[in-house]
Amino acid sequence: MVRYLGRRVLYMAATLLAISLVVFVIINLPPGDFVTALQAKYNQQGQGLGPQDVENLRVRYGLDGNLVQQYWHWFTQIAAHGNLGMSFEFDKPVAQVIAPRLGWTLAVSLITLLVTWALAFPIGVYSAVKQHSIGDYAVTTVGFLGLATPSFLIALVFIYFSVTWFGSVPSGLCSPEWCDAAWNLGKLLDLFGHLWIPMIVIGTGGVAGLVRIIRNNLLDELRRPYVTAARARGVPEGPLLRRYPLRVALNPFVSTIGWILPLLLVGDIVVGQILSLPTLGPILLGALKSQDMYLAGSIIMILSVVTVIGTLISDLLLGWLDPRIRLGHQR
Amino acid sequence: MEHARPLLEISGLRTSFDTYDGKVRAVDGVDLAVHAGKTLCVVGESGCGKSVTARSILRLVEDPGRIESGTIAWNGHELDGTGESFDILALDPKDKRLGRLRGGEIGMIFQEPAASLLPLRTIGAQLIETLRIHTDLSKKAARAKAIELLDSVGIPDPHRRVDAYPFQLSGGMCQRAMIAIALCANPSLLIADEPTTALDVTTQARILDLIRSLQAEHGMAVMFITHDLGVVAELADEVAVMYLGRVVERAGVEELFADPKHPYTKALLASVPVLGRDRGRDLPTIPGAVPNPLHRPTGCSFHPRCAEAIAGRCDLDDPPEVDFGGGRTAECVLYAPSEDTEGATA
Repeated sequence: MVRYLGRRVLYMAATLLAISLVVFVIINLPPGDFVTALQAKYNQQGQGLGPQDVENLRVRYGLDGNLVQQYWHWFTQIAAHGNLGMSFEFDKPVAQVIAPRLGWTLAVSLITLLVTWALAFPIGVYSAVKQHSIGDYAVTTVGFLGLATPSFLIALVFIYFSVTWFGSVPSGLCSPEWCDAAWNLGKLLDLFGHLWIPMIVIGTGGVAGLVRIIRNNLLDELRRPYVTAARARGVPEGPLLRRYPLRVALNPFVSTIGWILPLLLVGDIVVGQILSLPTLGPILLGALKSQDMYLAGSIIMILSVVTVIGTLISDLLLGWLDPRIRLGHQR
Repeated sequence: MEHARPLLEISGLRTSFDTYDGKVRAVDGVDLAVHAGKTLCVVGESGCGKSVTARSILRLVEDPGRIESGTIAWNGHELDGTGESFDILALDPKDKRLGRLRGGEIGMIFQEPAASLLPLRTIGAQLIETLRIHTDLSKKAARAKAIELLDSVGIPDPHRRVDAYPFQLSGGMCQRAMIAIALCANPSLLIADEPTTALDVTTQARILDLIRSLQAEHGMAVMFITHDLGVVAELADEVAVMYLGRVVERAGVEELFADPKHPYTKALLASVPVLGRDRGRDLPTIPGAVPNPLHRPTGCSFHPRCAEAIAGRCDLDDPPEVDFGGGRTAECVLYAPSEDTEGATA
């Protein structure tokens, strides 16, 4: 197990190194850098920056030297001090821009995820076990509709109806009077009053997709010889389903954690924008539009780290769940 | 057969599969009897319905398959004086007797031993689970019994192997574990559905030896499904030859090999190579292929491939089942007690 873990961590480090390179290249693709942007800004205000000032600023932000040195500076700053650089747009360190939104993003996403799983799992199992029943056809049809409708469209429909019926747009996660208030019951209730909209909007597609994954996995497993063999030795249907095909069908479910974690962090970008959610998604969109490259790069870098960690978590879970993975190499 | 009442009596079993192209009658009126302590071999080509027959006994036929009619009488309780006989097919799916039959009174082993075990659980876990369903052993006692059973089916080092996963064992070892699971509740019948087909020849021989010695030890009946006539000669007391969903010939094993009646049986036996005799000559084969069960030939379903088919008779009328006495039957017009076509060949 320790060796398995060690191997995974090593792969992880290598992957992150490669990702950091790519992200750095992306950051440096647009012409100019933070200092040229500053220079332009000061020029607009009529205060020119001398070549000496520019040079000093470059040294200060680690922008002097060639690309390799710059990469080294950027990389060590992140690795050693957790310093993600400066955001042009907000004019403060990237960390300070991201941190306050991280909590909200995680809250919205985690609750949505839990509800999605809680709904999708039983529906998927039912739909597989009772294949070709009326319930299965109903679930499958609704699932196709849910999967085919983009979530931003659902968000727009929501906004349309809430404006025509209630005369207000459901935006953000709190009412103005509660937003800056300290946490108390009122604020919590207000949060739940707002939370159900992004939950439904983001969750619909997720539930539909997961139901299909679980249904197909389980249908595959239900036809395996070991199911017939277990039935032939008298295992009752309930335990048979739980102990045999469902356990195997769980594996692909677990392996989705790898790509669900980053989704959790960004939230749905377009939906976040439409419903003005205080998540990272809209920030990333803004940073890309205004070429705020350190901010965009940092968000992408954080997402990559989370993806790699998510993959590690699902690998570990899979190894724990599936002895074929855990013991495969010592056959 | 002049024995007492058979342990298991299948009569008029019809099992079919609904496919997009139509209804496939995989088993089309099969009558079979398994006698206590004896071995019945069911032999036939792929797709003749022998596996489906075996699966129908424990009601394991899955969608889109359906058992349409027939009875399967289980006389185990009557024979050992513990209860009444009943028709397995008439049981409610939730009936406790069905649960006791599966794995308790009837053990079953399958063609692909490794695929018949869940790869995520140790063989011990799956064996102990079955033991605890059919006996009231405690967890600890069940584990001890499991190790004992693994030892009895010839798995070396059972203390360690009890915690092995199926993928860590060879196919032969997996089949031994399956046999241990099938025998854990001392069944009076073992159904073996081509248990050696996926194994190599030496492993095959060892598994057959094991089944034979366990049968002698436990006094159980065995219903052995195979396409291998060599296995039949080695194991069987009685043989049923199946072709396209019907039993075409029934005989004791010696009679079958000495004096096959049905042209299909004759052709099957002729196509088995004999060391020495067949050197340097082509092995006889049965012309053509097994017809698609969707388009079953009219009359005798074997007539298009039969060397002795009678035109105007075999291709029109269903062949009669001729009883030779002593449990010997053949479903062929050649032995029908009618004068005009006696001995005639087309």
